[in-house]
Amino acid sequence: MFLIRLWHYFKGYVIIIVSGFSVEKFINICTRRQILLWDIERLSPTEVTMKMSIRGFKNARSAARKSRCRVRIKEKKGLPYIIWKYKRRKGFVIGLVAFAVLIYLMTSIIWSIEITGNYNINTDVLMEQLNGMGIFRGATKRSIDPKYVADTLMLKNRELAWTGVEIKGTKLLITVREGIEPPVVIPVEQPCNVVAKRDGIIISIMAKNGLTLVKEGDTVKKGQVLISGVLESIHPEFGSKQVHAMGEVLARTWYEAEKEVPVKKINRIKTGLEWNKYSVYFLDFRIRLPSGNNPFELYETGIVDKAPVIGNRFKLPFGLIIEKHYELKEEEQVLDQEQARELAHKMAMDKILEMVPKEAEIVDQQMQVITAEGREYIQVTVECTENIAIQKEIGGN
Amino acid sequence: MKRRKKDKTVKRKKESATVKEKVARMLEIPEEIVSDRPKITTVGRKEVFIENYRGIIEFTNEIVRINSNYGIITITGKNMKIREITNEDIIITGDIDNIDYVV
Repeated sequence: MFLIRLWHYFKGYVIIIVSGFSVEKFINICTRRQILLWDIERLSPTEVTMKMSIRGFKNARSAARKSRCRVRIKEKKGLPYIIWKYKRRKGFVIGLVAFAVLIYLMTSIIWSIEITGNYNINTDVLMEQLNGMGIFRGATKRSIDPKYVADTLMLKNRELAWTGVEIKGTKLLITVREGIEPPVVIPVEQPCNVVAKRDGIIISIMAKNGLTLVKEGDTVKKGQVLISGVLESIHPEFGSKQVHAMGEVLARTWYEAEKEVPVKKINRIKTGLEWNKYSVYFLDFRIRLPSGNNPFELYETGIVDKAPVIGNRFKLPFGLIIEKHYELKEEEQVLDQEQARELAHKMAMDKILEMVPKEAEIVDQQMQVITAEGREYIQVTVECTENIAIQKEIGGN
Repeated sequence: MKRRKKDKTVKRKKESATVKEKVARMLEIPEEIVSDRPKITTVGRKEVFIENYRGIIEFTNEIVRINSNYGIITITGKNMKIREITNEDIIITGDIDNIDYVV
């Protein structure tokens, strides 16, 4: 029933009121002419309402004349009438088409590129490589072949262990996984020595292969052979045999740094004045709005990106960028001795921590104040325990 | 309100099998397809289908009279409407009381 009604709606129909004394005759003539009638209802002794298709209505005129009935349309219903109504509203139709086209175009380009998983490789570097492949914000989705992009990135960056390229809606997601570079390994068949990586005092030495040349408590220099790969026979006539020396040598090492104790410190303080530079952007196109010249000599900048956000995450690709310039002023602060030393110590420690390798364990640290030429220096020494063994080919440098 | 459906005993035309019908019966074709006898189907008290009718004679909310080859079918009731009418069949809905054949 619903389907029939839907069909009538698509084809369009009229609700008519037929008045006269022989409405039955009108109905008979109509049915004989293959005109479909439905929902016939008597309103009064002389009036009957019914529904009729548009095509049928054209033929019903003569039937009405023949049966001496008056026919008038009460209502026109269905899709053809709606279409006919909107046919005259050209702007509406143009808008509808423009909307559809715009939606299609907008969803067929990349709006944002997201790179995740990179720690050592700079995002900008990857982005530049993508740009080189013709991928940028605003590029069409169809022009991007995820497999090709992934392969190219893998080839260009040796550090990458895995690359995933996925187009999610209008977003290009690039997920990378960085591999750890394998250490330079001397093949097992090749004879080698174990030498010291840096100066230190041996705590323990454990040779897995080779002849130990040093013992606990020995002071060794960088490059000194710790475990030799050359095994001399007790019978000199047999000569020597070369092996692949291996072992672990724990040693105490020292790292040192010196920093001058400052007398005064320059602090930069915000004066509270600020000057903003505005620019609007769409994708990667940026237009600076006229906002005058920077009035400050010494300043700090911060960038505020004001883009409309849909929901929590979807940032629209256009917005306003405010570059905030805060005026700074320099203020000299005279430090007392304690503060100054603490500052110098901290700076020295930072410097040392940069030098100490990750795997080394810090055992002890010492601070010393040295006075020379009227200036004070802080000397920090850090004592570590670490494995200083490193393999080196025999005879090589 | 009593409801009854009169058996098709009163006929205008003598209802004997024609040659056409005999052949149809032999070939096991449903008779109503070939014959001009009206077929009336009622569904509950709300709907009446009539196939093989000739035309409507009277139509009001209380009475519908339909002409057929074997007499006038009179349907009485309340709030009666014709839901659909084509050349072959007619569907009447409403609170139907009576379906009669009148010669």
